[in-house]
Amino acid sequence: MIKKPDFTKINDTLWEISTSYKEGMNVPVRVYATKKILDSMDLAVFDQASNVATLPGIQKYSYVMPDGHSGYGFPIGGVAAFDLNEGVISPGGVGFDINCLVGDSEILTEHGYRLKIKDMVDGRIKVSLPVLTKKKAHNAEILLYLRRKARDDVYEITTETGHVIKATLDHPLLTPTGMKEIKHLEKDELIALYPFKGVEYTEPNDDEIISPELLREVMKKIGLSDQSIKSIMNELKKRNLHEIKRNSPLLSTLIKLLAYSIGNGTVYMTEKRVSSAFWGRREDLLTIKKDIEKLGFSANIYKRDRRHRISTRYGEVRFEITEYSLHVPARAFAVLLVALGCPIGNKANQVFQIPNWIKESPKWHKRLFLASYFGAEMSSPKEMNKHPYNFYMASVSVNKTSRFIESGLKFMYEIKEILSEFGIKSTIANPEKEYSGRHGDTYRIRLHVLSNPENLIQLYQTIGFEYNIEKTKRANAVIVYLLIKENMIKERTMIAQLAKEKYKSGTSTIQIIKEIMEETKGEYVNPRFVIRSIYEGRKTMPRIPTKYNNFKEFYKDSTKNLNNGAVWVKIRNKEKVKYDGYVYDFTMNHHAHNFIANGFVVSNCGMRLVRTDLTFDEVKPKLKELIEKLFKKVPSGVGATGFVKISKDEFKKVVEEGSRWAVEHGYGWEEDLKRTEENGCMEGADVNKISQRAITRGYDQIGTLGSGNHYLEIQVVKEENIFDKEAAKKLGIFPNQVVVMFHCGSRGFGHQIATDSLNVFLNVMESKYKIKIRDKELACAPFNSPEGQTYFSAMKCGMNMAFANRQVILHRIREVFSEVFKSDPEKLGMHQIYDVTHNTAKVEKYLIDGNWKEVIVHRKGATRAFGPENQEMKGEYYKLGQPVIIGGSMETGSYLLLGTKKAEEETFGSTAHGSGRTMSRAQAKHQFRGDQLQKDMEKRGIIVKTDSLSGLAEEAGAAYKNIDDVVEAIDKAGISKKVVRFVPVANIKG
Amino acid sequence: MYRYIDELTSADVAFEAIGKTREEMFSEAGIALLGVMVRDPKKIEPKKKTRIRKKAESVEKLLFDFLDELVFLKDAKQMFYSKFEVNIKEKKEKEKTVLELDAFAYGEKIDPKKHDIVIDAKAVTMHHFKVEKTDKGWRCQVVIDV
Repeated sequence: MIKKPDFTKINDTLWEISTSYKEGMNVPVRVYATKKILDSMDLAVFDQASNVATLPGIQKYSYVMPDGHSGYGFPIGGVAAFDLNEGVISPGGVGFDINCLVGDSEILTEHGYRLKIKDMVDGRIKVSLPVLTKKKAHNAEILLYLRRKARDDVYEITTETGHVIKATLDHPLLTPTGMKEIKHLEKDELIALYPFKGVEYTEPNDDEIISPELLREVMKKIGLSDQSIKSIMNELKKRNLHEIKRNSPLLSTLIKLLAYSIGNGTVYMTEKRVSSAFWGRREDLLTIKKDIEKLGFSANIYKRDRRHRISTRYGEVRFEITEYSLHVPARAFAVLLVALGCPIGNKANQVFQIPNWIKESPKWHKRLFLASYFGAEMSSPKEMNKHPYNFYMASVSVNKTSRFIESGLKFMYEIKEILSEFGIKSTIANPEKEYSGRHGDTYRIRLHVLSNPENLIQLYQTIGFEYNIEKTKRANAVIVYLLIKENMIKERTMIAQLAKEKYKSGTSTIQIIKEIMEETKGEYVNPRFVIRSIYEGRKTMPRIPTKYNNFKEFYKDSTKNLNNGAVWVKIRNKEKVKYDGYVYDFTMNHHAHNFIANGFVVSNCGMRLVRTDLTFDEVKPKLKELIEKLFKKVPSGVGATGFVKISKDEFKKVVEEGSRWAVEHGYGWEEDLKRTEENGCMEGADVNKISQRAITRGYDQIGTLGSGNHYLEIQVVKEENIFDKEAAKKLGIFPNQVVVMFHCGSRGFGHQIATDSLNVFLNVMESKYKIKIRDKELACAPFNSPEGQTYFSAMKCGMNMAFANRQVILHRIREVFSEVFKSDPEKLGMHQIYDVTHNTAKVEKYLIDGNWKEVIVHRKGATRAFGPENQEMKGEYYKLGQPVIIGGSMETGSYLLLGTKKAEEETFGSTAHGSGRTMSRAQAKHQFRGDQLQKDMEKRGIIVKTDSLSGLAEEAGAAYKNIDDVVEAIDKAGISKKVVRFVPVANIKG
Repeated sequence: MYRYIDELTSADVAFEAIGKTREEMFSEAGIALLGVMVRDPKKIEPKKKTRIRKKAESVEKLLFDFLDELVFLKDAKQMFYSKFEVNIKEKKEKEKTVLELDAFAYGEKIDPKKHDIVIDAKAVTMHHFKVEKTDKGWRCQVVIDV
């Protein structure tokens, strides 16, 4: 079930879906449409557009044009631009694959709670998982779950820490030499373990935590003016933060920010402003910044070198440090924190406790609170100086001036209480005078988490840290260290016991030593230990051997090359197990991989418009002859071969040169190139990157129209349909004029390229990049990989073929008109107005956040719409702006518009491309009959020539959106300006 | 046996093909593909024979490649195919099992006057692509880009 989005109306023709609609959205979705169009759009469009919004490197917004309808992964009528370095070239970012884990395996999620895989699979619970790459830990959304029955290939791996993983042979684990499948792993090999466990998941109820009433109350209390209150409420409403329930997807992030702010942040008021700030290490502040930006607020990091001087009980201390801080200017954000429970101003001088609603939260929310508070405030895990195998207690503290000590103690007791719910023991020390500063005596109240191994393990394993990468790394290493140490002590104790028993039962000492050493391979004990166990009788637990690393060395070795909180541990055991159930397969969306996906830019469908000097009165008597001749001369339909007969070798030149090839071989005029997008040739097309198969399929098709929604139409300008008289004149349009418009692409050639690439990617993805995909239609490879670059070049070949195709068809049209009207095409004034493309990915430059940036703009079923004085349009239409051609259904007609500066500013220079279907082909086939339709249209004055009456039914006008509505929407939105509307009088359909 | 699934996509055509054996399913899928393009597949006479050989590691990939070949031949040789004799073998290559398809496709040159052509099959997509073994035999689901 797709959730209906809450649209925020920006204006009558622009609607926004906020990032809270779906987890993982990096930017909001913006839909250009009138309300009428918006209400009739199918939900799948918004689902897809919001998926696009989760892609890495996406800039500004994920756009949907008024003709939007659902496509494959990316909506048709969709526009998105991606940063060249961080982004993808097209949809379908994919990451690591967690192959085939058994259903009971528990997965740790981004918010620190555990779920069993089999419970996640119904997709009900949307989760992100920490993805481990060698460099960093990321959270990535799960895109796909596959499930199959286990096939006698399930293995169990036990590590030296006692962790167990049950998975199939092809499940990959991270080793120091890269990802390796279980089938290749041996005992004693090192694998990366992420020892944090988190807590079980419980569904939060829908109690309200934040309401508009509460917010108003809080703001009044702070002393904000009515004006400010109104304005802040609007800001919060815009971001869907005015009403927050316990089960809101945003709450996890808010809890973390609240807790961190209580630990190492502040909300402060200056005169009438209220804002907030956080302190910490730069790397952590960056994480916090991203979270705040996801909520819709901006935040900036500042650096300051500070000198401190304070008197402590150790004497006066002076030090200089570089301090990083993150500032959030938005009042709304600060107010929200206060409403959640954050105190304003200096915490040392006031009463505050843990907010009640936190105390009543599900366990995993409490865990988030503690983990973030500890991330800000708790001491970093540290081994003792004199006993390097043991650790100091983990401590947090608050400073309070003498008046508020009681509140500080209460706060600590609250922390202690919550910790005990997790089975973690702690003590609170007596308040101690810390220093005398400017504000009087300040006392420090400390809480210590006891440092016995079980307690520390429990602390770091279930609570851990949020917003503190360094502490997380150390804590994870401590868990592993202590577990190994525990395990070692346990083993040694068992061995000591075993030795004694063997001795008791009469085995000789030498024999005992031999047996034990053989069995344990010297891992835990040496012969001397065995002897002492037998003779000296142990009263205390055996200590760890001196050859064992102290923590400092352990930390260094066990986290070598791992910067993500994982720790290297040895495999203790690997064995095949009987397992009869299902195994699960995941695919995740992960931004460490930039991908180029297939099936996106396929055929370079485009529209070309050519004018004539002829009036409809002149053409009408010859219309039938004209259309019959065109039907003969411009092949269309399935299996048609083009009139341009060339060899495969020559075809190779075509795909590298595009329209230029056609013009040079006599198919057209030089000026045609200047009036074509990209001058009719995409630079960088490399014929060596396409398969023989594609060439074989395509080389016979130059000069064919295609079928389906491809067509050639003779149209008329009615005076009342000229909206912009001046622009029309400049474009050579006049009342009663006859023009020709046609829509086609690169035919089978482009499709074969897409299919070939799909196959290449699928092969390479599994063997080389270890990637499975969400939707096999969106196979992909890293942009910078040889496969990615190959595809990019191949794609351009497809586009050039389409340009050439349209160029030669234009030539044919001129020839036919010339024959029928017995005059030269030049004398008939048959100049091309323009040629636009509909499905492209292009590198263009835009101003984003004040900087000029090169991005890859994807227009899928969308048209470029550059405004006047755009560098790209130097020459022909520089002053006017780029002509935009938008086709409707065969019954309604089409439009000519001009691009605008607004389009460049708002939608990466893009606008709609056509009507978009509203009815499926099957429905249309049931509702309409081709022959009847043809008769009806003739009655209305439109001649339709086709070899496929059955196909005609599917193209009935009623199966498409009303083009007038679509054009109205984009004109009103200012991203294109109407110039003239054309009415069809004759049509060729393939 | 095959049928068209109207609810699956709006701008394209989806079909489901069933067979008692894998080979039968492939054959039915080939006819279903033809049925996307022409009103009545029976109007295409099985006059000319073309051999199709494919190799793949999964039955899904094998079916995809088989149907893709038919789409390719439609454009490259301007041929429609209405009858199929399909043979699928399993072979062990190195450590993996590989499926080999050896088929004969029978059809004739595309003739718009004779064949009631509906629409062009531009490509076989992986969208909702499925091949599964059922207790009655084999079933596949394919979406064709038109």
